[in-house]
Amino acid sequence: MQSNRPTGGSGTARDEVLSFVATGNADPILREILHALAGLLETGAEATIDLGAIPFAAGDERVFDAVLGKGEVHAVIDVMGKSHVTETGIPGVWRVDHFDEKGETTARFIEVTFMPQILKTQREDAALGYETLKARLGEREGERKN
Amino acid sequence: MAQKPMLPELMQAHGISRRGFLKYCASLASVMAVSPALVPKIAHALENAPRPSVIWLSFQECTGCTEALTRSHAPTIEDLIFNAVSLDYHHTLQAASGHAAELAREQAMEEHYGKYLVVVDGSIPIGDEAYSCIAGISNLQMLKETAAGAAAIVSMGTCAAYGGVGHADPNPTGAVAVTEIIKDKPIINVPGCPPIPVVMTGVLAHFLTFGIPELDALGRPTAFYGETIHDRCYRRPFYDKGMFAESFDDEGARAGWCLYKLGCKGPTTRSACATVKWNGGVSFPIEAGHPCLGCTEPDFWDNGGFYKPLSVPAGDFRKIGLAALGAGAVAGAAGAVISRAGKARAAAAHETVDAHDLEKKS
Repeated sequence: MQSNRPTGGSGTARDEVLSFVATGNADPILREILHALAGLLETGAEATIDLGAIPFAAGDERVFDAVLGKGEVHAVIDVMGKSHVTETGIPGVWRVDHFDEKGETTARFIEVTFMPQILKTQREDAALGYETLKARLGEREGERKN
Repeated sequence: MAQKPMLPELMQAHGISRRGFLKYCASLASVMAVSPALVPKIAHALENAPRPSVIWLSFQECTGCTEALTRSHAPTIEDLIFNAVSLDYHHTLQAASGHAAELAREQAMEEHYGKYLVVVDGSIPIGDEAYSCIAGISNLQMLKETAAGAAAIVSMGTCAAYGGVGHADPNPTGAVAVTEIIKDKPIINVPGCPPIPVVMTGVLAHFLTFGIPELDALGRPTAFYGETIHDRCYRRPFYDKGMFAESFDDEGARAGWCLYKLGCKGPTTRSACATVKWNGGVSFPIEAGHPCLGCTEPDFWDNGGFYKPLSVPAGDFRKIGLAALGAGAVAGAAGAVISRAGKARAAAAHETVDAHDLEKKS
């Protein structure tokens, strides 16, 4: 559920070497994403891949970033820690990284979707928002009368 | 006992939005190692499932399991999980002590008979029950009477799951695992010394949302113990290429090569250490440069030495193994000896194996 960049020693040269170590898992995942994207276009079926469940070394991340690239959208959600929702350079393929309040990674997903669910305002929140706004307007009304 | 609020109500009371709840459920799915497609089901279960009563029994243990759990849960997820259950008895964490604490346990048992979850950490001495008692009640007696009304039992940590360090040779207290005593209840083993905190909470969350998880032959949830550390180790590419650290300070160790020859038990140890990791996902022992000790496997204390490579059994096991080797294997061992001679410094500190030994192993 976090970067698998190797540690345990020091030295930038060593880190540089290790950044190329790969488990070989990047390519199968990229193929899975391609398949999911085809499914999204054909049937509208959304897909989510949990990157925390897959061994990824620094070299795999390197491949991932190189193939997917960066897209146009980067949103930060601030609830129970930060969540970064980023569209990759392949539209329809999003990275959703959740962090807790200490900045520790809690989950990392690839979502193949037109819009990640977590970006949308949830109905329950909108209902609460309606009540809140109504109450605030009531307060203003009361202040005016006083 | 007063009806306690459900998780969504608790979150709303703490000013956490529905979006936050969805984030929580998504993180929980990842922690439980279940498909992200199950997030809506997790949300539904958390919204509707009654909060189960949990009775946590600590027997012959070092409190490491509880320490690990509590030290990590402070920020959000695990804290909420504990808000999602009703932790009615945990004599390390609760304010009450002595008979007042025992009264809390008895009340929880009575009110939730047949429905509560029992979590056990620590082994149970049966050689002489007096070795470990709480409020004058022996561990054996307390386990039996508490387990009688339990829906299920979670053996948290290697001591409860397999006997652990208490059970290690010569086992002076006659320490045994929960499974040696309780035979008529579902038992989930969550071994580790200690277990990974999010694995502990993940198992509890799974029980809360989907009931008893799928277990392997040793009673461990396959979601967390389905694969070996070796299968998922980021150093695996070095193993595959035959690149091994020969000692803790050689070039291979500094370059982050495979620790197999330094006694790493990763190939025979089933745990999620390499993926979930420790300290909030920062690292795990192999990433810190130390071989896996194999703490999620039975009798890991007595398995021949932490720094003995797997292909060179330690002590008597080694002699027996060598005696059983055929002529071809002996030739291979001779090659290993020659190879070791060229690695005098490393050999002085520990026994090593080379490619010949690995060939024999495979």
